[in-house]
Amino acid sequence: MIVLSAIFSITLAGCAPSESARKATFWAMNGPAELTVYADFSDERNSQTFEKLEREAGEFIKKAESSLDVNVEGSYISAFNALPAGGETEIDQITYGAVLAAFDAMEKSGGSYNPAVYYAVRAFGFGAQNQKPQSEDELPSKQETDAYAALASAFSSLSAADVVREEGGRYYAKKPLTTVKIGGGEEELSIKIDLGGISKGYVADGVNAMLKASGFTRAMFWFSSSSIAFGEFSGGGEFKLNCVNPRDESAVYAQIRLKNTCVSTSGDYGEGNFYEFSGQRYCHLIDPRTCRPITSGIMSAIVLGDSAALNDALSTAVCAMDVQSAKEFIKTQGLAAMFVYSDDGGNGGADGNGGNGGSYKVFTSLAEGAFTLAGGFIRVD
Amino acid sequence: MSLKKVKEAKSGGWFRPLDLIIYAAIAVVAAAIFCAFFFAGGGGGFDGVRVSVDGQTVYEYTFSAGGSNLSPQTVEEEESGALVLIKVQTPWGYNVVCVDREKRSVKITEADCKGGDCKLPEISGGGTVIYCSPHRLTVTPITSSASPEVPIG
Repeated sequence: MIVLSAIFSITLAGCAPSESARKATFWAMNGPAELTVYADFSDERNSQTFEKLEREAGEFIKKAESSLDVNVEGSYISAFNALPAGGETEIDQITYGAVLAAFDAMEKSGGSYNPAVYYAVRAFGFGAQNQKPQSEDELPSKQETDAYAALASAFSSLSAADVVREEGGRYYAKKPLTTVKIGGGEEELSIKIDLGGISKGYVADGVNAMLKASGFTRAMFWFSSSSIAFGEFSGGGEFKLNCVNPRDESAVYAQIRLKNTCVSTSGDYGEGNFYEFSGQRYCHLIDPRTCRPITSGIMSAIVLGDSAALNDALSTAVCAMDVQSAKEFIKTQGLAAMFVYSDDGGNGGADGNGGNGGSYKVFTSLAEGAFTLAGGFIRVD
Repeated sequence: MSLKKVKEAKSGGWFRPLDLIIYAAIAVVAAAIFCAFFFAGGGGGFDGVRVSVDGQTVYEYTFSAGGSNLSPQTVEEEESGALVLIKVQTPWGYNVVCVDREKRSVKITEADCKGGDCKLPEISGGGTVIYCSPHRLTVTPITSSASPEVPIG
């Protein structure tokens, strides 16, 4: 009787819809991207739809990289940066949309996100050339960073219409007139931008739109562990987002349960993203007001919302704020967000106790049941 | 079965206490087996890794079935005790991916890259992805069933 029941039950289970996962992987903007769809692929229509989606997403991702990546020779952003002050160049719709998104984020963040940090990023050894200073003496001087900050400040006072426009179905970008000279030097620097703080999120938004248009609701698009667009997990359930511990990347500091939203993160960690001199961390996240690496103590920020691009920029913005300002910003803007910080400026060790006497604190606006914190990470108001 | 026993069974009826207990036990076992098969997904079950270069899978290793070299011209595999060393030659340099069969963990132990925007933690569960940007190499966990866990950061 039990054997018959077992056979009957197993047969019933086999009659359930056979949903499986199919993945497509890509490489762009210096990192991997993966599209995952959960569907009944024994239905040939789903297979064909997925293959079409994979092709279109792949084309879009490559196009976005060739348009937006400042490290790609011939990208529209590179062409804009190469312009003299006041010069103009034609761009494509992707670049136009990304620049508009950047201005939107800059306005919403009160300038804490600002793409005009190109010089500072490179002066501190980040970006494609990846030549880190070998000693504190090789760090950029305050005179240099003040000059870069003047350019960033000028850019933040502009509106999108001052820089990009659409005319007759074509798009153009115009370099602002502001220039600076460093010290008594002859070289005149004009504004240059780097969309690295928003471009992965912008791509995630584009692929997310394709997912929705394809009809696949149980899916996700993951871009280099930085920007993710979520539908539903297999069976309509929630995903579990494992937030990497910024001081021990083999561990997590929080797990967030979610679906049907986008998420982006920024942080002061990761191979090649920071170095240290005399116990002070210098990371690739630049405070646009000083054009020097952030020192707020915020080690990682995560923002959830409908737009991965906006989340991407705002997570960078949160990291550039001091802790109290970041808390107030999240509250007043009504953001769904989380950030982890330590009182010692983020220069502590890998354990949850903050190493050098600080402790790791987590501020979040997420509902109590939506997340779990790892041991050693304390939720604070 | 004798006629006497049949008569005894018929006279006893279908719902004697012991019969009810047995019927309930069968129903519970049947439900449990059904649930085990129907809801088998979401458990994760880290079972190995997939190695990709520039988005193309070149090698897969599962603890249950071993290695599958999809690109013998660029991938070499060598066993050393509990370790499986997978040397991947990419157009931009090489990486050595080390699988520890005893610890059920995977990490990159060697590379000739000059450093870049890389994620190089050890994988010992389903939630982490390793990638080496200069070589466009990704090491992604394989799970025995669809896992809802996704890494960020």
